[in-house]
Amino acid sequence: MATTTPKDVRVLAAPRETEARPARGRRHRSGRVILYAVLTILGVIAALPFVWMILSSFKPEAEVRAIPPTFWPQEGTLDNYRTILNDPELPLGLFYRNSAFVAVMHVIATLFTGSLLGYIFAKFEFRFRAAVFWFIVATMMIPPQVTMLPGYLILLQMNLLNNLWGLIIPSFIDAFAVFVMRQFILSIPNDEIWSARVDGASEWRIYRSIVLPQLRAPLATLGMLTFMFSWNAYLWPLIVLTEQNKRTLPIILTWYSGHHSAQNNLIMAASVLMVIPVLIVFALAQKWIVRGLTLTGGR
Amino acid sequence: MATITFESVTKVYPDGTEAVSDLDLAIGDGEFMVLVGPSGCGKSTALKMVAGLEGVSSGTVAIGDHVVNDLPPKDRDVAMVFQDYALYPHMTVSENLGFALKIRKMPKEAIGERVRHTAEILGIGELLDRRPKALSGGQRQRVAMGRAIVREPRAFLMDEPLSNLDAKLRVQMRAEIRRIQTDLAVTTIFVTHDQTEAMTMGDRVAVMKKGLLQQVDTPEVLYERPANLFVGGFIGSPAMNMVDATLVRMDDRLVARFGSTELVVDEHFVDEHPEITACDGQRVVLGIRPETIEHERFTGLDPGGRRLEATVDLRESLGAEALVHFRVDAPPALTEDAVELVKDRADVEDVDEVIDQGASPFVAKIDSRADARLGQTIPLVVDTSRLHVFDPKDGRAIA
Amino acid sequence: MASETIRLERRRRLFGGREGAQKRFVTAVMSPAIVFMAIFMVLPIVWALALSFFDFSPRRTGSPILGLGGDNPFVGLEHYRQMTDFSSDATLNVRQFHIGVKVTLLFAFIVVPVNLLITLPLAAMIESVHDRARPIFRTIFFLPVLASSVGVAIMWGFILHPQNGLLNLMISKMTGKTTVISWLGDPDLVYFGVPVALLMVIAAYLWMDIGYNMVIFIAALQAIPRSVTDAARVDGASAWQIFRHITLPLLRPTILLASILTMISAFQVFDLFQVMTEGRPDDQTLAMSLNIYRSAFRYQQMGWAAAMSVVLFLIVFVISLVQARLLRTKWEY
Repeated sequence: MATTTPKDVRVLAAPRETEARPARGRRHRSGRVILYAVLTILGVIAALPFVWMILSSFKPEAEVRAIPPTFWPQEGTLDNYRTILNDPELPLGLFYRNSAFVAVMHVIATLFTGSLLGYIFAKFEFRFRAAVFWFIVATMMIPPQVTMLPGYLILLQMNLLNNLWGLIIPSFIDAFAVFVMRQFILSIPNDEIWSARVDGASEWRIYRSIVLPQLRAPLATLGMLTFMFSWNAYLWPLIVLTEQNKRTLPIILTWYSGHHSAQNNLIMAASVLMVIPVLIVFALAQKWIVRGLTLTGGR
Repeated sequence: MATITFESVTKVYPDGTEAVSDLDLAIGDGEFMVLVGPSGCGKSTALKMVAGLEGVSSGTVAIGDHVVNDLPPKDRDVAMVFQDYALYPHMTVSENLGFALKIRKMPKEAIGERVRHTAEILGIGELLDRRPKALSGGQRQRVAMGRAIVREPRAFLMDEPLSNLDAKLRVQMRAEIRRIQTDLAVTTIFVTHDQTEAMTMGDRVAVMKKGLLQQVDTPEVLYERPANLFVGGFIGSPAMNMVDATLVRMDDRLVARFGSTELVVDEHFVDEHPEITACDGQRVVLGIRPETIEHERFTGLDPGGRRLEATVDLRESLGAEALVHFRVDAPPALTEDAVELVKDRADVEDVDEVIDQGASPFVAKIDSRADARLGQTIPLVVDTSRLHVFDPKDGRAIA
Repeated sequence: MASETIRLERRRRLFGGREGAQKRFVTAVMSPAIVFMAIFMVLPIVWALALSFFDFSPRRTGSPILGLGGDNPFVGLEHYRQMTDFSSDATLNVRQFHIGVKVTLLFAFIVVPVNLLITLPLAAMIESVHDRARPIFRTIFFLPVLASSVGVAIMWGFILHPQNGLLNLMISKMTGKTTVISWLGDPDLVYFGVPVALLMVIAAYLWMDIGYNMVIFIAALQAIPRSVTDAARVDGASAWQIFRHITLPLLRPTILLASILTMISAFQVFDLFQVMTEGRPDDQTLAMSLNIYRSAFRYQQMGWAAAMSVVLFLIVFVISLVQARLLRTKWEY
């Protein structure tokens, strides 16, 4: 039940103003229009390569080779995709599986070690803690070109070459993940951990039940980023995997486009198959990634 | 002349919420006007409309003679003090103070002079080279004020500037802000949710609730003659007691009956508020301020027709006075505002339970020398010339 | 009564006492972690450095110590000395090394400023856009980051195709003449001293990478409290003045961070160079990362490759330090 006040109850101490003059100064709409125009143009430029790739994947070979080339497909066709999917030399399912296996294992390993080590560095004290931590962080700055040669030799010694595990194991500990997790865990109040200890929980239990559940956001973000980088990784798998049937998608894609170098229609279709599904998944989950990335601020 | 006028101002957000509804308010030149109300009542929104940080959906806001609806903030010549002070973190105190002047291309020496002068007024002269990070809350607040003062604007707009300070500092700053404002004679709108702040600082106070202006008047009038239940319960601490009562004419007198209590309305009161006689036989909401209830031993009034029996539930000592909490055996007024007031009572745990029992929690402010211990039943006397009567249907004040 | 006091049995554990459980936990976690790091982080660095002092090929057998020595002779600082050989009869390796350094430096020093000049205003523009439009723009500009760099390289390779590519198509449409410029294949195409092929790789990399810094800057912009910009607006600052006096200074730490990170990444780009140009035409796009890869895995000259990688690291390290010093500002307010 609202209580309103009739106007006559209010006491106005100052006399009413005389009729005000009409407003001066118009709001500048033109600024906003330019803003949107510029952004849209830039957006179109950003999207154009993708569009071109997708459109070309639906063109028959003759059209792709035509001079001058066309933009929109004159003759849309799904033949390119059929060719690729039916190509006996290109068991896509196998390669998707390889890439997926590596990526998933990579994500699990990274999230586990990252959160665990991040927890240790954030909440425990021990000698050389600072030294070890900053060493880990420093390794982020070393170009992969430096470590990839010895890395190759190490795997050679361990007989892990040409093995998917050879890809996964060296990246068990991800310096970036450790760094980010530590940042987040620092903000968990110590009291929560201490009260769990007083209650008798084991250290592992504390990690599992108190620390981990609070890390949903960074875990999700790191997980997605790690998955993405693993899926798209090229250099390291190139070095490690020497047999065709062990290889991952990016290598296969380059191999395929080398094999069919004149048939850009096929190459584009293959690229679409590799690039687009991931993009669609991430476009849908984009809210998550951006929010998490901004909190971690790393590349 | 820097008056500020709201004429039928309404603000509706894109999602449909109406933050301010049809606000009419005229603030005089040099006046210190306080906008007060619970959170969400639209007071900050109204302030931002004067600053230009929010647009006006309908109606006009005028500063001086000019309607400023479409004027960007920078052209309005008003200064604002924010709740979180909003100091520029990368600038020193003197750079913070001088920023607005620098923007306006004032010569450096003039800026330096004004900055120093303002810093002296506020007692922050030694802090000029520090960054906000190195200042205490109180110091930051002064810098925020200094930033406004140094501009010598047409109006000060203050959005809960004292809310983040500790209690003692807050009381100190209240006095200082008022002193400075009086010296400078700048029109000021001060927004707060604290009714004590409003009452102690304002020339006039505008009480708002859910976007609607409830009443605007001097603090004294707001206290003595609240326009409705909400204002009555909002202004004054501890809050006004409210109970569902019936007014009946007995013999020659008007009696307010609730539960087992019968209070005879003072004759002078009836004379001053003749409209109350029309309520013969009707249910009303009776408002009794705690300050108007005293222990029989210490009251100067004749207890006849003014008695109120109370069993002490809780006693809080305030030094010279004591707050006594007790229950009256009559149901509380069940208007939205009254129920909210009951909920706000610290000592009531379960509102519904109390209401179900048909009792109303009451507070009386009595002389601390009175014998009033826990569980004791004490005789109280109500000053029936200072009653408040409200219409139970819409909360409007009848008398 | 015998004064056999009740002896508290101390359980024998690795760490006893009040904090025993914690110490055991730390040990349990850190021990394997340290071993792992020793093998996969420390060892490679040390090994790489050691490799650079040898003439090493994985096919040859060396001594039992990591294969060094034996058929893989120790050459000391020979590799590094060769790198300083600027004479015209220096070996192909050395000449390609010099080209590699030049290409990589050129690449990085063009990419970083252009990237920042695009991403910062872009982030500012996106931030001032209506709430609902923002996620759309953010996604559009961020998607290229997520695309596989190999896919991107192939895509751009096709866009720049002389006969069938999109770029020439658009130019043809605009100029009316059929254009068949070979953007990635013509060694004579040079623009202000920079090979056009390299410019194309730069363009592709920028396209792919802009989303990253954009997101970082958007976050930094959002971290500026609304009340501070409001205060500036009421104080009388125009949009430009707010940007110059408030936004930009508050953004300096982020700009520095982005600048260093972008620089480091730019030095390490491999995929684009390998797939888009493979160093062609005429080694004009032979970046150091590509060079190192080829020397090591195609020509089996790992010692030489290791030496180059050490040099690359040093360059990155020094430049990062210089950057941090030059753009240094108070980190937090």
